Amino acid sequence: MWHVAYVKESPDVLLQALRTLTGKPTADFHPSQREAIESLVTRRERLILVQRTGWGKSAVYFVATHLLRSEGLGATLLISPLLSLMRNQIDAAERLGLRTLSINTDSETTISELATQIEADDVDLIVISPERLANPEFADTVMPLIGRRPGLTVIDEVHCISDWGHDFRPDYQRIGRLLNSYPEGLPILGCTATANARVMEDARRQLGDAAVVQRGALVRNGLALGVLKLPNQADRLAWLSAHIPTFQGSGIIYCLTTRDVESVTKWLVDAGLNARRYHSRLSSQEKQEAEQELLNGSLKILVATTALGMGYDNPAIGFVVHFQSPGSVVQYYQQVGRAGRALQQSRGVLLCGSEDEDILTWFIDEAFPSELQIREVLDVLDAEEQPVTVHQIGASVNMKLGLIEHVLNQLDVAGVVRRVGWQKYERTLATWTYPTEHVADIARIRRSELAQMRAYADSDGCRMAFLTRALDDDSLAACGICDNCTGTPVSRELDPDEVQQASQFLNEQYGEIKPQARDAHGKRIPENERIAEGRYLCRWGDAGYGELVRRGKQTDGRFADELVAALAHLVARWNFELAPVGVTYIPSDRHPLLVPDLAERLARILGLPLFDILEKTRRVEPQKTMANSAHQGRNVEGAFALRSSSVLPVELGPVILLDDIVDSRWTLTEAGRVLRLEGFPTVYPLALASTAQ
Amino acid sequence: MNRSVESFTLALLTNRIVDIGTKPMTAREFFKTFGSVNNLVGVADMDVSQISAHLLCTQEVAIRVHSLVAASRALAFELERLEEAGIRLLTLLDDEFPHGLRSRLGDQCPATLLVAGPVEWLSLPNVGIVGSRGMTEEAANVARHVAQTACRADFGVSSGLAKGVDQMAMAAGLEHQGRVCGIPTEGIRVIARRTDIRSAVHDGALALASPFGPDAPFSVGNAMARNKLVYGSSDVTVVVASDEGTGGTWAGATEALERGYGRVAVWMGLGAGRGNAALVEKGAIAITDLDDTSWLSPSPESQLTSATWNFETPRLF
Repeated sequence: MWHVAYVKESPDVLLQALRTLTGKPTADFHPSQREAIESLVTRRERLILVQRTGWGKSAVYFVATHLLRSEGLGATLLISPLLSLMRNQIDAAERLGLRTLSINTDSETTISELATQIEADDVDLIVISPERLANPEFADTVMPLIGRRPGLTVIDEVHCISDWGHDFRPDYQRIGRLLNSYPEGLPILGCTATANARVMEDARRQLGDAAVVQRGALVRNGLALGVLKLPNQADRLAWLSAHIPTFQGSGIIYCLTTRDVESVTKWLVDAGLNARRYHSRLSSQEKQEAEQELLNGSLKILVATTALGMGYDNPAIGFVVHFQSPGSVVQYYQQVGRAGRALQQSRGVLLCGSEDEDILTWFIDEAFPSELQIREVLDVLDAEEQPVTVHQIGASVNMKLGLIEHVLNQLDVAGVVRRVGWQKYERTLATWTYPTEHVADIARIRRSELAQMRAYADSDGCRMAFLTRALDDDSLAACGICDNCTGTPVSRELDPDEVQQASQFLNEQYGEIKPQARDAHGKRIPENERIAEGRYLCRWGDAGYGELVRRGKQTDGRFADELVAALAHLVARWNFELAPVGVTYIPSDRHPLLVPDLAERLARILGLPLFDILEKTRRVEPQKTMANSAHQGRNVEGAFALRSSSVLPVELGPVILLDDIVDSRWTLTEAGRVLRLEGFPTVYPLALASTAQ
Repeated sequence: MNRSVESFTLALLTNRIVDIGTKPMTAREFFKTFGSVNNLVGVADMDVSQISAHLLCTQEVAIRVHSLVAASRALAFELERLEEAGIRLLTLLDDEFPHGLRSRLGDQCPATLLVAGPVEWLSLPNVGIVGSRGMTEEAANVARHVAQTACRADFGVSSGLAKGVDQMAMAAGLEHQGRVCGIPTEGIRVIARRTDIRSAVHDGALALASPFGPDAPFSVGNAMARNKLVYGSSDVTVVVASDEGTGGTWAGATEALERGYGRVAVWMGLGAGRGNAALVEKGAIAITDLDDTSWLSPSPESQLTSATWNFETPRLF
């Protein structure tokens, strides 16, 4: 399909290739793009490109792929971290006529199809995620084929390779080791838009000492930055709904957690704004739709976690607002840098909240599993002669499945365990020691990055100059358009009524209790023994009700009237299919009066009878000391029964089953099962607070 | 690890890790085709006709060589995966490659090995202990006693890691804090599933070496190839119990005697198999008393018959 004869001495061949690819006879490179292509194609170098987003990195590797293919090299392997990015890349490459195949969780192409195409030399560009390198089938089937006829290797977002960086992804370490084993003379390209000197040096070391770095200026023209400190969440919600409608075009609001994305989106939608959510727990279809709507301008606001991150290619974003502060300047620059790439004017506003520090510190502390946690998982694997699943490990280790997966991923990358087949792991022959110093070093660096982010918020100098300097680009003196340069602070004008509404909104954010469908042994619970979907009032320890619950349970020994009223309010707004005819509750040995008292007060407000009918048949350990579902389920299995002296109403109707705290839902499931077996037609679980992650 | 270009090229030609549809070469085939390791230089960058002219070989052989050396990235990738999991590949050209195997097995020596643990132990003095899988109580005691004797005399113990005598020899070697070298019939990742094997490697108490693919299942053919390596890694190998004229132990011992893979000693007391006496007739040293350790040191004659091949000056076959 290619008809470009490449002659090394003639630089115009590059231009010709670009024009052939784009179909535009007037297309041209920046000088630095040409330089990069020559480095890869003519000198076959290892190159790291540090250029701002939108500079045109993909043109470099598309043209290089075209030329290297015509020189007889194999397909280009493009390793790219995010699905959103991959889709963009594939579309762009195909428009240029590069035969592109991708293997990811959503793609139709199977590994064997890909293998066939590579063997037939029918593919120019293979796009994969770094996780794919760890997939046994891919590693066994595809990598050897690529290895037989290697071509260019492209590592997008190459800063992820350094675990000094904030975006480190364990799977990238695998790439580093892979590259080290490559023979000389195979071109390798690493691309990034954001990296400070330390991360860059680490990435360069991993690409090989001979790697060349090409870096451009990072300043983003026309992006007006500003900072506004609003500690209170309700203030920030009210600020968003009041000010975002005045912002030009579409934009992104970044939040630190999925939960914040959900509540901010709901608040904005309720306020009549055109907003959508975006986070890692959504289906890829929903994410894709959201990206698409933002791209074509039909969506005003996309509320997102960092799941919408690196490389999302949308040049027409008018504003990027942070509902909470990110953990580092690198991350902030990366996210705010999405704004206004093709616009004259765009805005980047950082709202700082009082909760930011807690959330970010938690992220830092939880970044690496503890030695004890890793040891526990290894002990299980050490005793096995066959590969085991995460669930099997969960049955013998009192840890959350997510944490076990996290531990396994770290160990897999370290070579200490090996993934075999579908999500099974086995212990390898490699020995293991906890990287104590390294873990401490990284935590220290993260804390200093957090301090630097605080310094950005506190700075009275040019914001853009602060960001670019932090990324080792000293070229900018002052942008002239940020809040500090212009002397015009970000407006903190708030409507007190809206703040009041936002505060109420936050208090009304109840959560859903989804019933367990299977028992602790994985056996299906029959429909007629299951509880219905239920609700909880708040998250344990959250500002507002969450704090009141904590105080009631830990300090006062009685829950505040405000909480009982809020619960009653929640029940009143609940659209029951069959209205409850009574309230019952989970008995407790440790706090024998706390929940009965709550239930009695609630029943009184609701005007329903209180059924004092459940009792514990044995002592159980506190559920909070059980870390995963299998343990929690077994802990309470058969622990409840109907009190023998109970007098039941003649006709059994739907009933509310109340507890103070819900976590795994096992207690409610087990006690509810007893009630269902006794003949209650529906059991609605209700709790004050959830401690589930 | 640091590997010379020639060693890596040899690995490309002979490894059983990357399956690219072209049959890897045996060491014998390699020397037949290349004559000398010096001829490895530059081969990775040649096309088929250049290879044919360089090696003076047929087009067919040149195509095979070309196709094997082209898989460099695939092999590099696999070696990375293995190394991070504690498994390394050694070729005949690496200094760490077990010396005894080279000198005792000559052209029967595999060109590549997958190894784990303290592989240098394979180059130190070892006593091989072999015998049938199904064993008597007496044979078990003999295996244990021989392993203990070896450890006390600062010999390592070389074992095939199968059930029966092999297993007993390994366990006794570990118990006496000896250097234990395991040469399994299964691939190295397969044998690593055994908890006793894995924990011994983690503790630095067991060296593993395997000429097979990392995931190779047990096979009779591999068992024969493996036996050779137990003899090759040992100064002297003790046959505890062997059938006569049949079975892996008999086949391995007679082959070792015929080809001179190190010295062979045979237990002649309680627990011996039917074939033991016949092996003595074929030239093996008889051990009649477990407390007599004279079989450990070579007699002057036997030294003359070992070391049949000098690797440094490979000859054309």
